[in-house]
Amino acid sequence: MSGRPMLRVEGLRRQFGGFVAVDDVSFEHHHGEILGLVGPNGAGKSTIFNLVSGFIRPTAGKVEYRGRDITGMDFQEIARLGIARSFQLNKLFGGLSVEENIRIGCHLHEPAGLRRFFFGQGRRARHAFEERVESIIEHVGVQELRYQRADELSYGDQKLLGIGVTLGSDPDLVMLDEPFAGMNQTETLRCAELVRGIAKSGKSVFLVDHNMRAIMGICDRVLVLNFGKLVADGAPVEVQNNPAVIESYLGRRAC
Amino acid sequence: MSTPHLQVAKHASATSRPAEPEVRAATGHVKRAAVVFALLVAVAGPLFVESTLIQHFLVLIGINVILVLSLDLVVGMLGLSALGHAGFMGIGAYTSALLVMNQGFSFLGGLAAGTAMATFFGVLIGYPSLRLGGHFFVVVTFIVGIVFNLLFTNLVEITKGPMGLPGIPAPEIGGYVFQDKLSYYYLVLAFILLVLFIKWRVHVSRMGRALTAIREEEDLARAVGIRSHRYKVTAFALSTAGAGMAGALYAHYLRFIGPASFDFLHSFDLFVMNLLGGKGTLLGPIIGPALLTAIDQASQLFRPEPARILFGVCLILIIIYMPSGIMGLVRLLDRRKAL
Repeated sequence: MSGRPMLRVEGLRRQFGGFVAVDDVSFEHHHGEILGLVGPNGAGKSTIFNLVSGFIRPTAGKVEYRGRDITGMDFQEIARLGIARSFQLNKLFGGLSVEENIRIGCHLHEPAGLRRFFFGQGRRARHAFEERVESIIEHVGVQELRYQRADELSYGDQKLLGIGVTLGSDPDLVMLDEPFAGMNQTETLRCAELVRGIAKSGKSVFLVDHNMRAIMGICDRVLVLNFGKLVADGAPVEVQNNPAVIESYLGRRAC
Repeated sequence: MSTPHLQVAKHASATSRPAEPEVRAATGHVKRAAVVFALLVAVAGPLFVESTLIQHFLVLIGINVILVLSLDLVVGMLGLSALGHAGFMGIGAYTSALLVMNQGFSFLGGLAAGTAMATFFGVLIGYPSLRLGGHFFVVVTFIVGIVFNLLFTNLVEITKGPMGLPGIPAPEIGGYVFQDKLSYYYLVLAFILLVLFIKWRVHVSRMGRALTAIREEEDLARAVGIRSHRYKVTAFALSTAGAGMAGALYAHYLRFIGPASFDFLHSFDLFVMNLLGGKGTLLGPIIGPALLTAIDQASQLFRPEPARILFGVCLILIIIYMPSGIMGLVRLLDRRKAL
């Protein structure tokens, strides 16, 4: 890949009290790439996600997005720059319909202003907005469920809806926290297909997951994390055969 | 299209579900008819009321309706409890009364200044405190209400302290003086409609959707780029603005105000009215005050203490048996019929 990286993380560190959750992590994420982040439980994957998306602030280090330093910026401001993320326990607007969830996801594309507050959207603006909502509903495939409450959906559908909500803002970088967790085989395939589609439409995808098969299957590059440190960075095949990776998952061979 | 209906689904009840368009269209006609009917009653009804006592109640109910409509922006839309609105009402009342009496402001000028002052304090207090979690926010509003009341009592040079401010002039707009109770009722009604219009717009606009999102799941709302803190402060400021406006109307109606009118108990009453009517709705904040003010005023004619106890019992019963108030019940019945 050529040119400036989409995302550049340098010397990222986060300490919780005396515990170092993320220790001096550096990596780059290129445009249009599907980057995976794997590692055993407690390795600090979600912390990295939270740091990059601005949900929590790093103790040290720098996060650059399209050449711009976004370290320490407010979470919602980072989202407005084009980084959208989903949450591990799949937060949704539970009491609202699927359709309404997607509408909220499209918040940044809904025209604002005092005049609109008092007199409503023009017909054309509303039409364009609804079309946008519609295209996302179709994209993630929840057409039949549109009037259902989000918290009444099956787990797999909730995950798909979660991805749909993050797509609403038309982000350049989509960060998915464990999109395959708790999914069965068919759901995983459907979700992997969706993730590939997102990357194909020109967005970069950064994902964390435990499902090694899915990760290895769809990622262009994989980062492996253990005890807060990056132990490998490379193409899936390379990483799979890396002794450090095998060690972090299976432990050291007894001599 | 979105309706406030959909957006309050979480609070409506556990069994409610977002209605499909056909159901919504069917209830839409009923709703429109109900609105027209209610408007007719509100406009024409009082003409047939001869008793000045009942006219007096109607004005008080109207002022409480404005207060609860405003309060509901916080309680219903943000899903936070606020127990200091009587204090903001007092700010509006004192500001307007003092400016009209001492600085030669017109009634509308005083009312605007009272509203602005309450908004100013709303922003001042909301900006830091809305960063706190729900429970801490309630405590802050509670304390702020008490502090305002202490100021009304102790800033004797300005407010005349516990003796109160007598001799506030009746409102005058374009040479017409709102002297009698019936004309004052219509003045209040005009302001109710104004507040109702703004609240309706909040419900159906982009802001309403953002507020609903924040109430449902603030982290995700921020993840899609909603500036949650800004929206929360705006909603709170609008809410305190309404309270200030109601305070000004109150001052110029009773022509006398004292700290006792804006004490904690009144904040609490407003909160109960809001819950009883149904939070997060447009009609609930009208039903709640109407019912409770009527009960309260009727019982005051006999003994005031039992009324207080009744309010407390009411609150407990509402929280246990109908967390979404009378509007929640109405909606539940509506759904059953539709299904």
